Amino acid sequence: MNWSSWSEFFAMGGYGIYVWGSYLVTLICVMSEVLLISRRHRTLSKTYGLIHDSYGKENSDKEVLINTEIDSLNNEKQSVKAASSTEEIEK
Amino acid sequence: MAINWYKYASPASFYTLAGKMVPLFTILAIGLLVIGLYIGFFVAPTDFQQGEAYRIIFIHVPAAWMSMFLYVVMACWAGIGLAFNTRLSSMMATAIAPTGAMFTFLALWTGSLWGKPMWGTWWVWDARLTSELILLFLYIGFMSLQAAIDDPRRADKAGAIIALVGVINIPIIYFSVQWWNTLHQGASVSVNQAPTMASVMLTGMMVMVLASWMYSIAVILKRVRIIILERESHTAWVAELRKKGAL
Repeated sequence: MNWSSWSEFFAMGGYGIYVWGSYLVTLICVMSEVLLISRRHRTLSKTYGLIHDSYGKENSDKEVLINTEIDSLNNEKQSVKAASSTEEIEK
Repeated sequence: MAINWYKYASPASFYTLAGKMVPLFTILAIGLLVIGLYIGFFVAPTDFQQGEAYRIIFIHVPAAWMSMFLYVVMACWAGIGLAFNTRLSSMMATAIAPTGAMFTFLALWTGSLWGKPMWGTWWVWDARLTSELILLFLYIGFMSLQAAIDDPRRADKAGAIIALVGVINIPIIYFSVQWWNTLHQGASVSVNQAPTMASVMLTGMMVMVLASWMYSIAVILKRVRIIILERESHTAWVAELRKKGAL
């Protein structure tokens, strides 16, 4: 064992600031890298969560409604067109 | 039994494989780190020349080695991606860059804190230190260039060219202490010579090197998984994962 007390351990024979300065910054870098990655992952799954919702069950009924509305509008347009074209033919 | 390696060139199957590997390498990294730090601080004796300041070696050397090694691996993947147009290879290169840059910064930082008490200066413009600083700029250049291009496939190609051109810097860093008269000491460990270190110190250092390897593998695999998901979000298999709630 190299150290007889904690204070001796932290002093590092007078080189404490250099040794602990190195180890502390390494710790900060490693921790922030791990933290940044897990945050990036969380943001990603949140974004996918939103996409999931808009295609998911909750909104699927609404979407179907909107789609049928659009369909019926298109049908109306087409029938109007058809009507006008038949009128043109009659003329 | 032959393993079909081509299977893992597909982002979908590699995503699953990497997911299994991340916890394994995390545990290995933590275990080796604890052992390495224990040897480094409690078993390894005080250096007769440098006193306790030499204990910086247990992060300085692993960081410096990883900075160079990761650059070579990054350039290899980038080159494979460029040559064979394989998406996953380029994603690997992109995933390696931030970790490599971090180790390069740490090598410079710890070197500076070691240089001050031993050489009497934080920094000198000598060959070893300058070429290592250029390595940091190469990593930053690679990342900024990729970040500046919107289309990921074009970003891959542009990044690959920087990465491949920058490989020339690696032998320059490695041999700088032989080619030029530098303040930095020569290699402590080399292939054709007996190590110039006490064996306990060497053991501690090698355990820390292994810990950095395991850490890098874990972090890079975790990052590449995220990159895969980001880039493959339009595919059926990601949609399948999303349905299962497995993201």
